[in-house]
Amino acid sequence: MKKEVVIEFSGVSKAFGKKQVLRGINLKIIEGEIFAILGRSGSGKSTLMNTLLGIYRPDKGKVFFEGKEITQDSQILRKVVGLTTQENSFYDKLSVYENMRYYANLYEVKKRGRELREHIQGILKSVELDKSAGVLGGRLSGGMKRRLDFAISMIHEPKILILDEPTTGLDPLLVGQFWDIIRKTAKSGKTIIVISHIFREIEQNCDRACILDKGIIKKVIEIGPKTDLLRDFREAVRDAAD
Amino acid sequence: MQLIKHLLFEQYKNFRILLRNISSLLLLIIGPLALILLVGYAYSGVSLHDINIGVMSSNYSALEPAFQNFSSFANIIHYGKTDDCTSDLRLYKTHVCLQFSDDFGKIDTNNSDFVSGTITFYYDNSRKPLSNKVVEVLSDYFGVEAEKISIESARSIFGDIQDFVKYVESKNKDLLVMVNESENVRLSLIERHDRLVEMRSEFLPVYDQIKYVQAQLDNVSQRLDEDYVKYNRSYAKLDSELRLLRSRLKSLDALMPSYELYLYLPADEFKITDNLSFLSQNNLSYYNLRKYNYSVNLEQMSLNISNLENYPSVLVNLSELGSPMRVKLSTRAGVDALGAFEEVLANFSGTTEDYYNYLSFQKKQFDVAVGMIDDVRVMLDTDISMTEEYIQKIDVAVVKVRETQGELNSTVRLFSRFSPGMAEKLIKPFLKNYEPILPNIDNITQAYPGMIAIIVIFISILFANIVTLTEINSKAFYRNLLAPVNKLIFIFGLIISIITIVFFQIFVLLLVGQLNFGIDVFGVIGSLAAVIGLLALLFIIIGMIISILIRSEQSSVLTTTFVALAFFLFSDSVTPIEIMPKLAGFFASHNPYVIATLAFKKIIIFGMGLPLIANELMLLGIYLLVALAILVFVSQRRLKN
Repeated sequence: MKKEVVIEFSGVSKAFGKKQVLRGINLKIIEGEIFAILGRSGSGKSTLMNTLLGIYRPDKGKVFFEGKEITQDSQILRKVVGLTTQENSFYDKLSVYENMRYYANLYEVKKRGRELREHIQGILKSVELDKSAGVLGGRLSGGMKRRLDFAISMIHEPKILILDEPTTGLDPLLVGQFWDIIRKTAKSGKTIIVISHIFREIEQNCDRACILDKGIIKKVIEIGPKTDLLRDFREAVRDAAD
Repeated sequence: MQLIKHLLFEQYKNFRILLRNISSLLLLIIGPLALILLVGYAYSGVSLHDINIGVMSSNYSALEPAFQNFSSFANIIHYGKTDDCTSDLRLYKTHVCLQFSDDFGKIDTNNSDFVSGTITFYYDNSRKPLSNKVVEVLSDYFGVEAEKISIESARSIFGDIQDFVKYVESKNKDLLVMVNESENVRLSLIERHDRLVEMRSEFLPVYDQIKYVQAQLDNVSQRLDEDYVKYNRSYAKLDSELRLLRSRLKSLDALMPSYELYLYLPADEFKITDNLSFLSQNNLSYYNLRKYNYSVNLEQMSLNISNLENYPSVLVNLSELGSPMRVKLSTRAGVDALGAFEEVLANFSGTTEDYYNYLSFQKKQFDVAVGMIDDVRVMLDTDISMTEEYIQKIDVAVVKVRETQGELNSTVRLFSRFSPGMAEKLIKPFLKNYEPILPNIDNITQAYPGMIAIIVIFISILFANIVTLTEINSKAFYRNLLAPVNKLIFIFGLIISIITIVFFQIFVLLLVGQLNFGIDVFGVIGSLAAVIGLLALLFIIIGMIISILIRSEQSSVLTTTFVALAFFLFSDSVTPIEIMPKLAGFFASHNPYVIATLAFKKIIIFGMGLPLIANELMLLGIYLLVALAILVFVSQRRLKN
């Protein structure tokens, strides 16, 4: 079955004052894949994601979702995108369930009552937080917080999940556990965009990756068993430096 | 519906978070409670204590007993020099310095005999409220003492005024007696005038008659004069004729022989003869007629001798006499008759002249009498006119005296108001008799409106700032911004949450006001809620705007505190607006804190309803709309990153 392009950046550029952050980005992300965006700090990864989310509007170029231009209407994408940030974007003073319930409302989850509770419980179970539903967000462990953040990003069953440094601060055991959840989610048909600089995790868990440097997509790599992302990254960055 | 649902969930989330935040809970209950109790306690004090008063006086020992009156709240420190005291004042060691003049409290024997003296207050005007209070208490005391002295002096003055008034009143009575006497004199004059007029009316006809008689008399006199002249002329002519006649008779007599006639008495009847020889012959006694006076009556032909010896009257018949004798006798009789006639005529002439002269004299006497009567009339007229003039003069004088009396009475009335009991009023021409429109209001009730306003402002602005900062700086808020909902949901959600909390806090304040301070808050809760709502919302929005513009927690809270303080200080809380420069006064008078305080005062102290605070509500409403517009604009612009 041929996979559809879900997200397409076409010649997207963005500058902040005189600083050009994105320079003519052309990128297509395919449905159901786990796509990684690699880059050094300040390479433009977050700006690219924020442009996708409609937080920034591109100075040039267009953004498409499922073939429809969404450059000027980010609301469409926001309804189908879930975001897991580097930091845990939930309320420490709300319990796991309360956080889920709050964002279910905010993201206009159509389910009601028991169905909603079951929906929340289902997501929490998928991230193995179902037994911690009553625990306050602030009292969760680091891995549990990441999972809660991930669970919240899935509350409205988004088609696309953006994971910004999803395993930062987690111990190796928790990292593996978290990637298991991500892969399981991807298998359910969701497109996952991962922003990370941990090449090994990407090599092990992602389908494709692009190397972003100084606002330019240097390379898009199909990840296979022999892929050496660190080498590819070094080559791409060196080429740019040359 | 969805919007409401979003808002409800915002409340759900916010309250969950707030109730699990110890600091929020403290701010929610203990903060406002502590604030209201502390501020209320601070405002409830009425008397001074622990005040240091510096005194400079050359006569300190004499004044020392007076300072015992301040011992309950002040310590008195005696300074030799003013500079020493003011130095301590600057160092906060003293609160006020009093410099008493050398003559303070002594009697000024040179001039007025009044007690005099000067107190100079040196105070630190940078500590104005306290200094004002201290100076007020001290000046009140010395003011009262000075008034006591002044009242005594004024009593003396008023006593003198009262004596003067009594004197003037007694003189006024004398004046009244004079007026009454003048009235009596006037009445007498009028009576006299009437009598004189009556006399004149009776006199005038008589006078006219006299004048008429006088005129007639003048005519008669004139005619008499003319007749007299004619008579004199006739008399002269007659006299001339008589002389001629006499001359002729004498001539005739001369022609006749001269002889002697002798009277003899032959029998019982005397006879006349010229024959002396006959008499001798007959030896008859005889009488020579020459020697005797006799008269001849030619008509009866008789001779009459009146002085004959022994015969008183002798009548002799001459009819028997001869013609010569008879002619002789006739001539003699004629001459005698002529002489008699002349004598008679002369007598007559003399009588006529006398009569004429008499008449002339009498007429002159009459004229003199009439002249005197004229004088009487003139005098009468003059007397009447003078009496009239006197009456008029008395009238004018009485009117003037009455006017003077009236003026005197009004002056007396003016002065009679002053009595020694009024001395106090004179000493305090601008009343110190204070009549408060709310006489029984206590300090806390006076301060409560301002307290409520400032507490609402501080709670609202700080709480809104902190809550908004917490929300927009939270990691979760980034996710919220990515949610497919309008960002204003979060803003209005926050506003509702904050206002609910603030209202609860304010409810606590009102409850304390009602239960602890006895202020009738809930009786006017409707109007109060309207003002509190607008004020709280306004400052919640200002707090939110600051938090959105300044995301750094410390900077934002500091800024918010400064803004709140600015609203508080740039008001009439420290300095009356009327003392400020005009422009500053304008802005201060439009300060929401001032407006809200005014509205609260109207509601709580004066019990005014919504219509009477419409202006304040309108202004606060306008501010709120402007602030809301700014908040929406700022949040749309700044809540992206």
